[in-house]
Amino acid sequence: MAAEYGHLLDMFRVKYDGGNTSSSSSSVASTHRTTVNDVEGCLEGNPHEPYSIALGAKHTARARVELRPCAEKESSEVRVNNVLLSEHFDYIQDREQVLFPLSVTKMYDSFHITATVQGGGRSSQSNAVRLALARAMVPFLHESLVEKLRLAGLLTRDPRRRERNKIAQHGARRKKQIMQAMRMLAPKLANSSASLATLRVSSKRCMASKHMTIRDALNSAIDEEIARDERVFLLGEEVAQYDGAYKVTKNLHKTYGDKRVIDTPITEMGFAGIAVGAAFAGLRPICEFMTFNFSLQAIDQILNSAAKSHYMSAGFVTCPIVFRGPNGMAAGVAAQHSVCYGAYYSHCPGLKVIAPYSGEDYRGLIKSAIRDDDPVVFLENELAYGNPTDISEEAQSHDFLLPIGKAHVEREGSDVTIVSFSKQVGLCLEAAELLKQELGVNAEVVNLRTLRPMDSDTIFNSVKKTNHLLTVEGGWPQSGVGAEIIARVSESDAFDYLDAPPMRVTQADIPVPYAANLERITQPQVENIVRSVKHMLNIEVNPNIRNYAH
Amino acid sequence: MLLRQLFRGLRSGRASMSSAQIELSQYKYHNLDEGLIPGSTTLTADEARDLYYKMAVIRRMETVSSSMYKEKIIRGFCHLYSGQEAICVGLRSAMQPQDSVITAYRAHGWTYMMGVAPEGVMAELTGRKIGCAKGKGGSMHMYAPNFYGGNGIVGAQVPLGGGVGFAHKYRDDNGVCITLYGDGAANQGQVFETYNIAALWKLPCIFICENNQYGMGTSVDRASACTDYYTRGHYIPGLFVDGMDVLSVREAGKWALEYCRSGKGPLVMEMKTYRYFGHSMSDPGTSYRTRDEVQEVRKSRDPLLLLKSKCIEHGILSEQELTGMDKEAKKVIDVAQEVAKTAPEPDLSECYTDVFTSPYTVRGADQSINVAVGH
Repeated sequence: MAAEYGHLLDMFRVKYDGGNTSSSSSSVASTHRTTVNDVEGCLEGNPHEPYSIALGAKHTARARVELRPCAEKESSEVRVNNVLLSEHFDYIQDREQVLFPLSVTKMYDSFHITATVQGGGRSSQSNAVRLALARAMVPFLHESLVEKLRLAGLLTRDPRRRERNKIAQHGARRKKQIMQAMRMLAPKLANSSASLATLRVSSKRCMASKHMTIRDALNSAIDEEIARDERVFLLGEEVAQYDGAYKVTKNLHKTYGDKRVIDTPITEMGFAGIAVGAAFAGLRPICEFMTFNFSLQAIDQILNSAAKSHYMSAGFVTCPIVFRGPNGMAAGVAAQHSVCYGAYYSHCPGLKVIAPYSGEDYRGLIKSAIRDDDPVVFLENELAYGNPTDISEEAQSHDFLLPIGKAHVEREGSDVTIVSFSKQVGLCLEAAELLKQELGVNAEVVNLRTLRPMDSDTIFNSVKKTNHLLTVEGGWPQSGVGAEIIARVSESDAFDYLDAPPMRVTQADIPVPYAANLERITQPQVENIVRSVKHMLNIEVNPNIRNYAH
Repeated sequence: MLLRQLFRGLRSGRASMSSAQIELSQYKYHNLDEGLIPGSTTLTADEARDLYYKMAVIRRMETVSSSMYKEKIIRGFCHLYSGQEAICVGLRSAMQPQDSVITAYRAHGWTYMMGVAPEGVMAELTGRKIGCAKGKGGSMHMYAPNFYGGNGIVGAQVPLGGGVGFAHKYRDDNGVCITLYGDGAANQGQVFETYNIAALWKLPCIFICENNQYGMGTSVDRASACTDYYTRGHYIPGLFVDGMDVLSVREAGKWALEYCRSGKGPLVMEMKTYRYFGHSMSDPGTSYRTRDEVQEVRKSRDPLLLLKSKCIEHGILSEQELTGMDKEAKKVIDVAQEVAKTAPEPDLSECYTDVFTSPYTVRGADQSINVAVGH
């Protein structure tokens, strides 16, 4: 067997020990004509250059896919009707559909895909191509991977004539808002064929995972915790009858009533203090701030009453409270409503500070926060609420808990460590994909998940592997979270592994302006990350960066 | 007047009454009908002993603390309760076991009344291991079952007390939270935020302003546009009480606790009182008031003397018995003082404990110090 296909040998289901030895890659020596009713694709060609063909259909769309395995280190090409995938299918959703079989089996760079499709609309076409692709993959795959495809429903033709519109219904089309959000991302991915990293907000997408928004993930988690423990209750402005200013607490008041879900007047200091007092007396309040900008009114109760009482009383008083709400940037809300409070709250001992990124982060960490006996500040993000996310079967469990104080490596890499939290993790993943595609740089993206206690070990291990460190945050640079991370790294043995001074990407050191073009440049963007990485890795030294790295 | 009453007691010999009907001071009512609290109450000999003894212990404890502070054995803040004893003793005698209390930093008297022995209080003041907060809290951060401190930030305890009241209502355990604050804190915004929510949600909270006439160095006239603190709750019914008369305090407490327990919502009370010492030990207490004023109160309105004279006048307790209780209190506090002075300081490792309930590691003042706690 040719050495370059060696990495696929194990996956071949059908063994070759003779047969056609023609070395021509273009000859089609098919044993029979494939029809749309063939359940599995047909392996054709010779052992040195095998390929398979399969057909797929949905509604009136008919697709045919030809698969050829890629050589090692070659990146795959996906073509539909002789143009790039991204040119034929405008919508990201459609591209994602087409490549879903690769996602399930994690075989992105394994095949060159040549597809032809006619008839039907874009949705049927993408489905048809998807089906053909999955069927074409079968001959190349080990039984366990075929089973995965089968269980994901990818090997079965969709017989439906009419789609349903309600979200969360089995097989329903996604809501308009989500499609819009995805469309906004589309331009960035126009040229990448198999890039799904920036779409995925959860690293797993398995057979029984549910697709929902982060808002739903959070809502369901809070719902379950209120049901689980009668001491848990929720209070805040507009959380009850209004269903939440950002609809995070939708339906909770309808379900649990006035006792468990309580509207407060606009008096942060008062109701935060009342919540803390209730926690002292043994209840488990969830105190919502409409945004954390308003928590400054109550910061004395958070820091002096909640955070310190366990210590001052030598363990006699406990305060099992969760302060939660949107934090950091929104869109166009200007200086007083756009601040990230990660650095403020993580400064104070006695508080646990959590900043989730993905839907599973939100679910697992809010549950851990509510069940924790210490005061927790839970920093969400308004712009994240509407983001689509996949919640795996494991994460749907009512007892799904993520550990507080453990970071998560969202993307593994070898060239630079990018540490971030909250919404900026998405930005880092986008930047990492771009760095990979355009510069061949493999960035490792670390999602802190918790700011206090911070998981230094994960950061140190990553830095020891990649030798470069970049921190990205939505807060200001002075006395910020990035400063803390870099201080810790320079105090540890990971310092010796650094090949360049660590760098920070932060919000610009100014109050946030209103005008859209100005607001944009105050926020960390992909270009800031890429510029910093290029300088750090000596790909493009920037004369304005005065850290004398080079 | 007082002296005549004392002599009368001496002349009549030993006490023979087991109880007597004693007149109470005048109350003032806001948004409440007049005369809700009867004008007199029954005081038994046992009750009288209990009330007097407790006030005597607190008086003695605070005096000894002031001298320990001058000897520099107590450091930092030390806010003394001398003169205000009637409030904590009177209210406590009206409370039921499920009721809670929260107050500000003038908390030594309350800590003792809520069950911490004098040694526990004084060793906490001297920063020793056996202090009620293991020496880690100090004067302003003492706690006990159903007693939520001891709070250092002026006014912050009021919303906290609202929260404790909320928990009582949530659990439906028939408890009431007594939340105390001073005339200085009475103007804080968070106090009014708590009034609002307590009235809206009908929380079982009694908000009590211990009006000792001065917020640190500022007299009430210079701090508040309205000095009728019992009316400041506006829509919340209010009651003015003579805070130097332990029996008036007790009866007001009984009535108020019953009112709140029945679910009618919160109450505001003002207890007019006086502190003999300055605001804290760093304040001599004479730059904003005259010594004559302090002496006048000591002579005519002192809580211990008032109770003493009533007991003797009505023949419930004799002079000897009362003096005996003074001596008893002194002995107890002398022992406590000795303990507080000689007890060991906390272990250095205690510095890092009790930050969280779950295991964690702590950084010390330099990088060589990394402590794992609870692992």
